Amino acid sequence: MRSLRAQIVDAAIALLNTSPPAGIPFAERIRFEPYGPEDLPAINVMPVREESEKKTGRWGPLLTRGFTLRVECRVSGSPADVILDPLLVWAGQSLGGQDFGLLAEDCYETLCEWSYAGSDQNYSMASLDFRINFSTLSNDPTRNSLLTP
Amino acid sequence: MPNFYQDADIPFLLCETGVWIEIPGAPRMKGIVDYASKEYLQTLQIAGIRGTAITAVVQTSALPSPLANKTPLIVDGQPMILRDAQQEGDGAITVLLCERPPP
Repeated sequence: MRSLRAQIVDAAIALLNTSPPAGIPFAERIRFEPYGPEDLPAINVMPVREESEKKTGRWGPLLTRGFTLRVECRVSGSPADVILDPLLVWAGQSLGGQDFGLLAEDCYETLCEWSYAGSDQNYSMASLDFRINFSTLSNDPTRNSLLTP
Repeated sequence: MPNFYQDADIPFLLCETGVWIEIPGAPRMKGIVDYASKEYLQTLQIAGIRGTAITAVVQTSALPSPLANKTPLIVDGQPMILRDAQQEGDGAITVLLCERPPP
């Protein structure tokens, strides 16, 4: 059984890859290999952080989790922010407000950072973090309710 | 007394391994070109972009003055755009940093 976190990442990537508009690339999951100029534009999705808190007390069953999912968009060309913008818009439209099929309580953008590098072409990146709030049983990260088997 | 290379010797040094470089406002010149791969824009130490640092070493005195960034060039038959020109050492040679024009 997979954790709710992993299922949320599955669902997020599926949403990003559902009928993206023209010019928007399919999202990859934690790509390690460098992109060549011919691979751009590109979207790489990765979990980066999670904080947990037990709000139900010592004997309560639930762990409240704040999960950060990062959507990294890389492009070449100028003006960089203009070329990156449609990718960021698509990520926001795909993931903003999602509950990922009742796996999560909310999902919203928390931070976007842009980076630039001049080389044989102008390369740019925008890293967009989504905060995803969800809960699991404190003794089982694969379940979010006492009722589900 | 040792003989040092002088400015007039630089074209001779570049002619063997150099390629033709054409810059508007200057006679065609030879320069040594390097294409060095480099990874840019990594985060969490993964998945950066593999770019290519394109440099051409030329004789400074052969360059037009002033030489503005974004000047179009022809390097070994390939169209390029000047990103920057940086003098090296005593200034007798200049490294041209080049980029490819947008596709």
